Amino acid sequence: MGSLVAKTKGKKGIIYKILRTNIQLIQDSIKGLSTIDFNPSYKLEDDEIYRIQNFSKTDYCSTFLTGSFSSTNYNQIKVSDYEKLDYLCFVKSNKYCFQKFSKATQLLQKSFFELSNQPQLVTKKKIIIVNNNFDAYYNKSKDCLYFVNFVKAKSIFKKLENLYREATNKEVNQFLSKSFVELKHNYSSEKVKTANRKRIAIAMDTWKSFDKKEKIEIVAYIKKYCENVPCTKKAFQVSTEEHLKQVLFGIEQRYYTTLIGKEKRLANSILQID
Amino acid sequence: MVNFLFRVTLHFISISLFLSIYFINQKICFVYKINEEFVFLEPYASYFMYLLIPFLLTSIALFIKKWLAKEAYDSNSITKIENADDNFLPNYLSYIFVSLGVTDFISFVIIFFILLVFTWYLQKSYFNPLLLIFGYSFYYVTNDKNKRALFICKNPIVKGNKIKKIRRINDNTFISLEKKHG
Repeated sequence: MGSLVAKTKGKKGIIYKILRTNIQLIQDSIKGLSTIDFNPSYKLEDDEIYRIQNFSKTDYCSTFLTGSFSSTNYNQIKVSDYEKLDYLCFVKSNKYCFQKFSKATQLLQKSFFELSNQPQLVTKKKIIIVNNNFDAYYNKSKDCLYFVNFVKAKSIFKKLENLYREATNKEVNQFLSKSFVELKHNYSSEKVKTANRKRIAIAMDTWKSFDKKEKIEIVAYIKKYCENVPCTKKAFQVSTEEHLKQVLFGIEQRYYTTLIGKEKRLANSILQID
Repeated sequence: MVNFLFRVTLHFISISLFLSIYFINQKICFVYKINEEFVFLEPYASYFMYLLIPFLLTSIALFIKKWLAKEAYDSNSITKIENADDNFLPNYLSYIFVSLGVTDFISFVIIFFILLVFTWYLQKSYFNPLLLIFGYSFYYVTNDKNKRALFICKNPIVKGNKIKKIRRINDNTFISLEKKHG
């Protein structure tokens, strides 16, 4: 028998018990998948899954997973709590299967009827859909957390954000120590947020592909379009996320001027057409 | 729905002691109708019935308990076990004394309703002395997550011994359906 519990949204979110059942509500199988220790720069193949070993000893683990599981620890969920669910978790035999809850797709009010020769229409009943797949899976006996999609896992275990931060610090430091970047006003790699970290990963590859002459041209191009970013003759003075973002957009050559009207624009997304 | 019925029944059983003592004290006999005539049941038969009704209600409650919500408990996580069999004795004695003190019917009705409302809203642990007669014991159990709950079981609770067939009465009270060992 396994227990289905759920946590409500927000910092003050509480875990509630929903029900117990013999059915494996959320699948816990990772058969046939190769496990790879989590690394943000490694992109998973189809038959692979990320894992974090010794999860309970890291800072990213929640108190829910430590100690024993007893469904009696949690209050029974009330109807009004279903609107605020953050994630579901099916616990059976020391295996915790987490599923991020999406109100739009999983809390529905539909009219439905069973397949039958004399169908009975059921209307005005609000239902919760539990999907088969997990977004994160914790095996207590192995003390390992498994997941495919880091963003979803991070939305369940909020502290995983720090793991991403630590894993990308080297790259961020490398970028911020480049000759054309000068840090000002105590801005440092710790303060760089996830969005810019992702952009840095892409920008580093792009920057490496430029030759010496192109690097000089790009710097001039950034200076032309990013008038908000203060700069000296040698370097851009980056002191905020916004400055960093503009420099990174510049490296990706997202800025352009229209043919008619000579308008300066920033492209939202890029599609290469040849 | 089952949960609500169960709690109402248990609650009423608790209060019924108050009723029974009052009726017996005031020597009120049970009355029933046969062929358009009201007949009074013999006094001792009436009193016996008043005492029997809580028993019958408890049996009904115990019958429907298997449909309550199922729970799991890891007994290795227990940090403290306290026996609660005599915790509620003062409450019950006070029911008896209050009902003995009430003399007229109006006071009785008013006090009865006050008690009903108070105990429904204030009672968090569903204690019922008749369960003791049916072989159950009450334990306050605290575990490593600092949750203290009342467990109603036939078998003594020991750390490490699995408690089987647990059902939820409310967020702080649980009952085990397991039969008595040995």
